[in-house]
Amino acid sequence: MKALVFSRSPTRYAATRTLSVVSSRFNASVSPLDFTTNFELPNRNLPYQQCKVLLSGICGSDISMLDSSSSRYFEDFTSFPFVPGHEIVALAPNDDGTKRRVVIEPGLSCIVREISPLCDYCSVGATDKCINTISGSLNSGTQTGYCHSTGGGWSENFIAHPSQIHDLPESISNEAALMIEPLACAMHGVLRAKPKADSEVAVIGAGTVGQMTLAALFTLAPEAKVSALARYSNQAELASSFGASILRSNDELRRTARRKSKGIMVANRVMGGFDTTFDCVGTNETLSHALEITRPGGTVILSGLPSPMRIDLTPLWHKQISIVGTYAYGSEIYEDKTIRTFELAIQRANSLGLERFVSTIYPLEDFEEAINHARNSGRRGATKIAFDPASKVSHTPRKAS
Amino acid sequence: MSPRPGFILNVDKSYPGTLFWHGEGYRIEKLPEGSSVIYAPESLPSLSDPLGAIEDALDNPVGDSDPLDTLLTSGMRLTIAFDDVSLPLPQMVSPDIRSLIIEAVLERAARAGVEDVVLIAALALHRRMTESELRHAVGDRVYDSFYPRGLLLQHDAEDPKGLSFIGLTPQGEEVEISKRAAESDLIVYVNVNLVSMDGGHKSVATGLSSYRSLRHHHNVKTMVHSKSFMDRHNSQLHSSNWRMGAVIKEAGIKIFQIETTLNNDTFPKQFEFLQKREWEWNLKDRAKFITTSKALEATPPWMARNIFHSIRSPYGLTGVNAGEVDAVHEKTLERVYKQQLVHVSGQSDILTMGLPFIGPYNVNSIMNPILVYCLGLGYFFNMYKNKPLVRKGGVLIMSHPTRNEFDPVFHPSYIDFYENVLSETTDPIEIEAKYEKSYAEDPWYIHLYRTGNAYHGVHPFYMWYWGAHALDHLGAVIILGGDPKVAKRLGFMAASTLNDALAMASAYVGTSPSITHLHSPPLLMAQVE
Repeated sequence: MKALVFSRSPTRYAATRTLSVVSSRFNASVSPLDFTTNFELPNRNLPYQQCKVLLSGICGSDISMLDSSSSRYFEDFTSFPFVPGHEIVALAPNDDGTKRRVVIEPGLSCIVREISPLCDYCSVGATDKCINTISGSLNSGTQTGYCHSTGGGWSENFIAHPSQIHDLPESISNEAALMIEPLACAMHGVLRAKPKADSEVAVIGAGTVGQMTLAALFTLAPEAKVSALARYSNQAELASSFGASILRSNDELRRTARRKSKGIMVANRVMGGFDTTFDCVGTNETLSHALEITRPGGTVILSGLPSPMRIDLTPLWHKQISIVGTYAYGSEIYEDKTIRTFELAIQRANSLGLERFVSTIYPLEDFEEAINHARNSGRRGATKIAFDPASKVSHTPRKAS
Repeated sequence: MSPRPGFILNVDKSYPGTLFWHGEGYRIEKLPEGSSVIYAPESLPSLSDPLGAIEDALDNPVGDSDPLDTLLTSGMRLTIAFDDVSLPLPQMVSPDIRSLIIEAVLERAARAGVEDVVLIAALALHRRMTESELRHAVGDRVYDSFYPRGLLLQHDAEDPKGLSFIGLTPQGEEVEISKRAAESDLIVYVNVNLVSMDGGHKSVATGLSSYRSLRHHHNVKTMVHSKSFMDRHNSQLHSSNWRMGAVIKEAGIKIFQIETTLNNDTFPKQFEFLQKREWEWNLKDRAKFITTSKALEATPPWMARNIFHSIRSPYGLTGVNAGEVDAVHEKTLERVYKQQLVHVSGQSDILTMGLPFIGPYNVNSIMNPILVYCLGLGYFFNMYKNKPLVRKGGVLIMSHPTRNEFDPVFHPSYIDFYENVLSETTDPIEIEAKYEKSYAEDPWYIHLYRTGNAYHGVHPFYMWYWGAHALDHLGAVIILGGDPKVAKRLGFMAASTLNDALAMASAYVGTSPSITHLHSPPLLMAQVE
């Protein structure tokens, strides 16, 4: 079957890293990613099920991995070669041989790995904190899309544990469903931050992570006052649909931070600032900026996959800011009930117009162009780029009216 | 030969084109045949003996006032307040008329044995003046005598201990002014009147007041109903100030008002052609125009700005009157109108104007987009009596580069206003209701106003309200040569050529519109019948 396969190759890793610095184009010929038509999934018995990919997204973390610009932290929690793709809408088999549309929760925690007893975290539903990412009946990997045993979304089929499979209601289109995984991530971050009513919140970055954070704030913390830093017009337009005040530059956000908190600003140093800042990019620049614009005693939520960075932590120390990491999804306590983050995201999907965020869908064969598009999505007016393994040509999905 | 009155040129085939100010530069534009171009009256002759005229005014006050000498007594408290750097424009050549008057008053005070004298720059919510600006206004001698001893102050409208509540007008408007001024036995106010809006009771009731007081007339309702705010007797802005003036008078606060009027000599020799009628340009004028405009084209905006702001105007004094506020001001208005008034018959569909590099609030600084708006829709649009030069629903075309540039030291709250307020709405009523209070009470803006050289946090709002009457009146505004993104943020359109602007305007006024151009410099005021 068709698939894109990522191999461990130090030479190609180095070449890709060098090229990514000098060129904004993804170069397939030197990348550790290859297109193949004869990929075979490892055999898996029940309860694992083989699912057919309908759509699979290209995430910022995938781009970092392909550019070799991400931290090497995850290398030892990954099994090579693997098929990337953890944002997946698929068809899962029913007992009677028919199929149903599902969305995949890609975390490979104790239950998915058939580990018993469950680790302390999984036993309370906090699968995002699972410590067993290299053991059990699967190879190493924190998620589907980084594990040799399961395959991933950038292929025709992959393997999933029933606990990963969430049925989709008829009302949610495939495109909207594709955004459920990033939405669930964002909801997890928002529920970790728990912004109070009327609190001032900043969101840095308006790519997929930023937009889904805005969507999560819109639906879970509607009384928070949200300002979003969006560099591109299309991002600004989408962000404003969630009621955010749009700011277009770091300077503008800095001044807004000062003004909203009635603080002071000496040169670029703001005393005062936002109660909570979501860094949805995760670079040196954005985290530094987040520390600048967050008030004393405030919180910075690190939502975007961070790149390795050197950063001046003096404002963190001086303003006694907390940096909170937020990874993936698990169980949440929301409105006094415990609910899986994915289920909450599915419940809210219809009210958020998620299909708007899927910009272009490519066949696997056109992966070089797809990845280039995703790599420059903001500049090219796009948010989410995805693969449809059954598609022959790239296309823009029809937007819901 | 006596100076020629104002003139209206009917554009025909022989017309050489009209000079439009365009920020830190100018351009020649060819208006369509049949357009009217209004030129200001020629400069009135200046008084040959300004010092003698000042002494005469102090000795022979108008209205219900005694001569200054009889008001000055040993042991009294005297406060001399004076107009700030927003007047005149550009700053006048030394000695500034204010310094001559202040010296004359101080001399008389000294003769009378007055020892408790304080000078106050009447800033209202304007920025504090720099040392060189203060020196220019009051003169080195006065500056060196008073400033080091803390006797030359700049009004602080945010000093709770420095303000006195005087009372309420019958309309419930709160009157609060400088405590030092209120507790003085006499306030001598030294004014420079460049346009008819300035002076009168506005000098003390606005210049020495606070936000608490100002908000009663610096608001959208008042400005929309000031038709125009350059016409004192049809301006609610002035009516409110006059009511406040009455409260101040009733409270026993004595004001000896000294007002001055200037002629139209705005530019020195090298830029003299700017205020000539184009068809009367001689060879020298043409050469100067070509040389300077080419040089300015090749000069970065910041450098051109510095060049223009270094100009000192050779204004001549046309009159000085002193005494009781109302009587003095009526005399002032007569002189201002004599210099600036032009009779115009009827309104046009389109009004065009060129906006210069300077307005009252960007002396030695950047004309930011909000100030461009204020200069065009506030000041220039309102240079009328009776009715606006452009009909209701007509189009205003104003020429200015209108860059997204701000001075963070002088105009910090303007930047936030542009980014955070105008990005949400340009409706003055909504802006006033939703945002004014938070900017007016922002402690950081207050700190910068009190200790730095920043305009008060609420000031950009006032700029926006200044244009509210024009916004209410006009069908569209087009910024000729303006940055399209900035124009859009202001709620306007931008055009790169006059022909494009006229084509855009046709959607509002048809394809055969009547066009009037308000020529400047120098300043003029239209009496529209």
